[in-house]
Amino acid sequence: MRLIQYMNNQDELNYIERILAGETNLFSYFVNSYSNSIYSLIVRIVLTNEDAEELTQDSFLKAFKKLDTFKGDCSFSTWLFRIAYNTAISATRKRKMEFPMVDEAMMESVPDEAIETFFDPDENEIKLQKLEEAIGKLNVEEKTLITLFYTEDKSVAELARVLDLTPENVKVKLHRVRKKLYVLMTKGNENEQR
Amino acid sequence: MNNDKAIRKVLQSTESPRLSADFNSRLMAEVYRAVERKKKRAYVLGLCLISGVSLALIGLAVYVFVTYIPWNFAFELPKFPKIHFSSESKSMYAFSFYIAFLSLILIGLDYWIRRKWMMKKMK
Repeated sequence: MRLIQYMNNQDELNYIERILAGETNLFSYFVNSYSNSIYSLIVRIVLTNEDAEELTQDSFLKAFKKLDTFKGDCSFSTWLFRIAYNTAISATRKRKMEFPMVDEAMMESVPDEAIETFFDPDENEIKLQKLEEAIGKLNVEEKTLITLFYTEDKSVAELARVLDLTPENVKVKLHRVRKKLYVLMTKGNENEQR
Repeated sequence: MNNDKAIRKVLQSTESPRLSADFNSRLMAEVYRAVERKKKRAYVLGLCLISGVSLALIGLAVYVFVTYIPWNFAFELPKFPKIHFSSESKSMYAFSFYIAFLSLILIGLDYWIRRKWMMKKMK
C-alpha cells in the first residue's frame, strides 16, 4: 500500500515537473483525479452546489498558479485539499454561518467506552438518519476532519497538514467530534445553544 | 476510531451532488487562459523593461553629448575629446578585455550545460 502511494507520489511529481516545463495539458490528470473529492469536501462546507463548483474551480486555479511552490513533502492531494479548505473557509467567513454549540461539560461527561461501541453498528436506519443530521450540525473544521478521515482515508499527519494543526491536536479533535456527535444524537436539540 | 462503521457509512452514502459534465473542460480552458495571461504579462513586462533601458541609454547619450562635447553651430563638426593611451592604461584595457572574454566564455558554457541538462530531463 505504501509502495503504491510512493509510486503515485513519484508519478505526480513527474507530472508537476512536466507541467512546470510547459506541458499545461497534463494538469488535466489532476483535475480528473481530484475534482470530485475536492467538490465533495467543499460542498459539505459551503452547502450550495453552485458556490461549491465555483470554489472548486478557484481551488484548482490557485493550485495551478502556485504549482512551483509545491515542495513534494506531502502528497499532492493533501496539498490540494489544504488549498480547497482555505478557499472554502474564506468563503464561509464572508457569509457568517452559524453552528449549534454543545455544552463542554456534557461532552466531558460522555465516557470513552460508550463512544468506542456507539458508532460501530451500521444497520439501524433511524440511528443513521440521526447521525446524518448530527453531522450537518458540526462546524466547518469538524466536518472537514471527519470527511477527510473517513471518506478520503487521510492519515492524522496528513490531516494536520491540511488543517494546519499538530498531529496531537488532530487526534484530540477527532475524539471530540465523536463525542459531540454522540451528544447531538442522544441528547437531541434540547441542549443546543446558539 | 478507525472502525466507526456508522460514521463512514453515513458520509459515504450521503448523496453528494455531481459536478457539471463540462466542469473539467471548462476548468482546463481557464487554466489555458491563465497561461496565456501569464505569457502576455511577461511579454509586456519585458517590453517595458527594454523600453525603459533604451530610453535611459538615449537620455545618457544626449546628456553626454550636451555636457561633454562642445558644439560649434557654424556648421563645423563637433570636436570630440582626445583620448590618450598611456602604457599603464593599455595594460588595464587588456586586462578588462581578458575578463570580459572570460565572462563571455563562462556564460556560453553555462547556457550550453543548462540546455543539455534540460534536453536530458525532457527525454
